[in-house]
Amino acid sequence: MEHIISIEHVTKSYGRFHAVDDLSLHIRPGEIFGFLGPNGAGKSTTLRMLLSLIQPDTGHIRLFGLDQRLHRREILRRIGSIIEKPDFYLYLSGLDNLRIFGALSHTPRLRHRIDEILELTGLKGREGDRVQTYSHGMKQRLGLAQALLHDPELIILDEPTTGLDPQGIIELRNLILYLKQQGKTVLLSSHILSEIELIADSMAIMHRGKAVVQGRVADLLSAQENLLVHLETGQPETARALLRQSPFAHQLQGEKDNLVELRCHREEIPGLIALLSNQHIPLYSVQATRSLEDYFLSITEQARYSSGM
Amino acid sequence: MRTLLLTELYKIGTRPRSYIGFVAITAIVLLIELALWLDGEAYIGFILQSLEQSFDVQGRILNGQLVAFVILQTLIVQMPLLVALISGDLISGEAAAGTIRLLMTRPYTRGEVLWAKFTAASIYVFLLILWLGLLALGGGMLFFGGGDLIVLKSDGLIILKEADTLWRFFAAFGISFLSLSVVSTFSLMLSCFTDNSIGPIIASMAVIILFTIIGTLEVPLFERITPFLFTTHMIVWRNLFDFPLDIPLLLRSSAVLVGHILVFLGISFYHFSKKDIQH
Repeated sequence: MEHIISIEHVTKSYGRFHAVDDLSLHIRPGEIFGFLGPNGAGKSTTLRMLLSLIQPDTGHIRLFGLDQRLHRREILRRIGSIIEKPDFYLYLSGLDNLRIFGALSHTPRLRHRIDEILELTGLKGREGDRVQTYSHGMKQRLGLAQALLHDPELIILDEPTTGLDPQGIIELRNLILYLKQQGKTVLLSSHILSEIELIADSMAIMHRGKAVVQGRVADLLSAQENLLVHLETGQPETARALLRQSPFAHQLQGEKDNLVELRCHREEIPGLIALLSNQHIPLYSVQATRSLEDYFLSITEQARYSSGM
Repeated sequence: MRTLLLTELYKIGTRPRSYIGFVAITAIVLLIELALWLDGEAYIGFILQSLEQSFDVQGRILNGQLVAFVILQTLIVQMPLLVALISGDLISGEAAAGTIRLLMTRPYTRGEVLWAKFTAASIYVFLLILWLGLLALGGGMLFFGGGDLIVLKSDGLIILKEADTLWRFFAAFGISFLSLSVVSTFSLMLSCFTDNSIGPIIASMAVIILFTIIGTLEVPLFERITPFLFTTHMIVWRNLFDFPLDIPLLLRSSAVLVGHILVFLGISFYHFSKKDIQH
């Protein structure tokens, strides 16, 4: 199987708003795929369409090489997922919830499997308590537990680190890497680029319903060795005039108040600082971002602005 | 499918609110039986005082059959609410709680999930009726003993021999089950249209009250639509205590009730199969 997930020209609209706009995406089996984008980009809508919670208006979705519309049951048997925050039957215990969802997923040797998963997700000892008494982090773990219970081939996680403490995030990251070692495919959505870069093999960035960036993480990062450097200085005009006379002249970018922006490689930064210092131009800060991160931050900022936050 | 049904029954069985109906029925039935135990003879005497001027009424009039009949008449208003409380929450309650997402990502079709919920709700209704029957008829016979059943009508009086009453009660419970299944299916249908837990419950009761009022008002316009309202046919169980039995009427009303169940189910299946699950 070349692709475990194939999304071809899928669109989903709500009135005049295109939540997903002619999206095409392919995910290989056995990899960790990062699905990035700001709030409202269309990530959750896409994930819901993969899980048949939402019907696309146009396009085709194939999972495991099967048409989603014709083989829904077989496909869902092989997927585990968490969509948004994991919600459970609060009046039941964690164990009862796992029994219900495990039985509905036709999990063989359910009791034994539940014990295994409780150990793996760190919930052992609390499974008998009502979910109503769980913290947010514990509910996230329980969400992961129900997703993994039936040993699925494909695991879809929608912003799984939301609400987790730093230790929890590290544990989740290690778990995802462990799952990959077991041959699973993990589709992981997030609005934090650094989180995805650390573990994903491939990724796509969504913006306004479209995948604006797609590819192998290593390839995308190596293409972004050119950094965008922001120099905060007390004499921006003098600094710009000096740089225009230097080998950095063609690397200068736009002007912003007392910030000087230019693109350069990481190895060039010490030389740049030395050039300005030698001319006694005071430097207050030097910040370097990769253009991919900068692009992602800019579309995130745009999304936040348009949502009125 | 069996696993899905058992899961639905388990969820209903472990929710505290599922027992409100049983507790309410128990309380009401015991209250009525206590009241009749303490003051039933005086009550009977008052009702039959005009008759006793012309007839010599002998035998045990206040008996289990009469008590059960009185209880059935009284509970007809409360039972639909107790049913809507459970059925109206089956889909919308899960949507409000967010568990619908986890449920619908299991390997079942939407139709199978809805069918399991409908079946579980029907089993709940059956158990409610069974409990009512045990308490009303069983409890009535236990505390008051058996006897002939006297049914007062507006145009006369019907006396049903003791041996002729039991099957009528079972048939009445059967029609009550059909009637409450209509309420259950109606609430379930409303539940498919909203993500709010309370809305379908209140809407179901509002519709039942509205239809009941339309059915009782003797207005020519309303009389045209009254035969099509399910509330009109929900009280047809009383005709089982007529003599002679109007079998065509009973069959017609049962068919109307079954027809309503099928229509409401059809609408539910259609909408739920196409619904986007956003929550």
